[in-house]
Amino acid sequence: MALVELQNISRIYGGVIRALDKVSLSVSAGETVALLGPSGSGKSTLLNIIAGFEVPSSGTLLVGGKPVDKWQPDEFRQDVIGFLFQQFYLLNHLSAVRNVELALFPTCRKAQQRYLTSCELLKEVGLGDRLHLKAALLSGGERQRVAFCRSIANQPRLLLADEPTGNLDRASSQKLLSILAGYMTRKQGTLIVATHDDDVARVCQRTIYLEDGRVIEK
Amino acid sequence: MNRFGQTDQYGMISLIADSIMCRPLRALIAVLSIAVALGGAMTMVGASESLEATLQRGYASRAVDLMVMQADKSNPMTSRISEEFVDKIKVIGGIQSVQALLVDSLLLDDDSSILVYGWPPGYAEISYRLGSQLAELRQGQVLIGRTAASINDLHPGETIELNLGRFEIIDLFDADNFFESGVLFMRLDDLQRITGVQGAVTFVFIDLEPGLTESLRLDLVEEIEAISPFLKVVTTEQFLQQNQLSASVRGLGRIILATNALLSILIISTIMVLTVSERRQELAILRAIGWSATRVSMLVLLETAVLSMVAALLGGATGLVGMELALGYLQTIGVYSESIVTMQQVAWLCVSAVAIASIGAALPVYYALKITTSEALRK
Repeated sequence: MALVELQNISRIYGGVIRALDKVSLSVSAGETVALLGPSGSGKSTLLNIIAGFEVPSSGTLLVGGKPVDKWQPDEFRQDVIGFLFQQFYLLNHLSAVRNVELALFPTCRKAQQRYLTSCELLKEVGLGDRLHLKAALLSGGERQRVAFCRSIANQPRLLLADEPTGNLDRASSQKLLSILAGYMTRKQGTLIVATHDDDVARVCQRTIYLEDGRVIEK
Repeated sequence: MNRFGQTDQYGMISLIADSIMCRPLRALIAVLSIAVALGGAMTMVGASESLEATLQRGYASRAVDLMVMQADKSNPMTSRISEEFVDKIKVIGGIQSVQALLVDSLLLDDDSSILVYGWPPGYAEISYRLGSQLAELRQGQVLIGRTAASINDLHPGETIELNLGRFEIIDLFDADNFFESGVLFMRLDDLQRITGVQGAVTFVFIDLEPGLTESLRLDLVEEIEAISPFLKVVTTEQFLQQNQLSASVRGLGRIILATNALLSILIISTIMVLTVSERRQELAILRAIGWSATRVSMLVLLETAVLSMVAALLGGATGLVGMELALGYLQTIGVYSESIVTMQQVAWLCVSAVAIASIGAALPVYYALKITTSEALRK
């Protein structure tokens, strides 16, 4: 059964700019998919729509067999999806562990449980010695690993990643990819990743090419 | 707590504290601005209420039930009624005792003012703890309240000049209340002479017989007022309400309180809108990782509340200092009052802080709720 199903999704900005043009695709549970394409091809817009950050101008989007607008937004973002951003978007005045804990605030877990879970996740990605360093003091690669922990803290069914290696050097990219691949294998999770990077695409089972808001090859 | 000073008990309050502390200068400016605004209002309200409470204690300690004064005077201190009415009031049934008093503010040694009470013979019957030589007070002699003596650095045996007349201080007295301890006593005829109001007094204090019914009390008031259209009878509470000085300070205090509360709301609202605007991405990220709109609103609301409460505490302390200074200034013009802080004032301060936080947070919360994740992250 498809976890994500897009039927003729279009997104038009200001009535003029057609960011997505009747995109239809389906992603099964446990599948890892790379969205490849040049800048402006609509990859990020597609991810934002799947995440519920943006509303499509037309078309139907089903997640878990349910139209996305039927999900409670908070429940959807908390339980169904995890999002990894290119710019990390950490709260720089907070430590690594606090940034991960933030994702667990809406759950009914107690403070100590939130803390221990966050520490565990950070240790798994090799940041055991950076737990209490402020995000502003971490390197780009480390910050992206913190952001990754935050995105998977609630064990989402679907992980969305928008150019996760876009701001990283090669070594950091490789490290993140190995963590990402390891996680997806271990958890049998579903991943949709927008990228320019062929290395990223290689860790995915399927690649979808986008150009000018259209799927040109699946 | 680990070696980095972080605990495993990180919750909403800790997050709010971190958010505030990462912009310390802005938080400081917000707190100080509101504290000054609230402190100013507290000063005025505190001073006026202290003044009223002091006066109230004074009249309560003297067991005055009714006061007779000139009918058409809005400022009771300028009331002047003829002494001949005193004898007529004395013979009315239901009255236990009657005491006439002339009050005026006189120039003391050409550089400050002092409130002077002119008592007729027999004043020793009233409940002051008076000096030993009181019964022998003669013309040209005065008794000075301990507070007035201390503030003006005057001592028994010294001679003072009052409205160009010279008087000898023969003793100190203690009043049961702070207000009258700041007053000077002289013979009624002396005060009438130097102020040029022979045969006149300011008030007549009436102590009623115990157990008088309300209806008899009203009859008695009517009977006194029937003596002359120039007479007005008021209760102690009514008199205090009419007291021009305390009424003016009270009115001014309330205006300043309202203005400053509004100012505080604008300050906190502006600062929090700025903060929310600066933290658009941060709030958008919280929504993106599953925070509900209510939770994000609570974050902004609680942050505003914490700043307002800290400001209220600081404002309260500033208000206390301001109140002391204001009452100190009033003493230099001959008005004595002790500083009285009531639970009601403290409760009002807390209520004000909560109200300022709630109203001041409305706009920032609305603004925070309008942030959409995609727009905030695109910028």
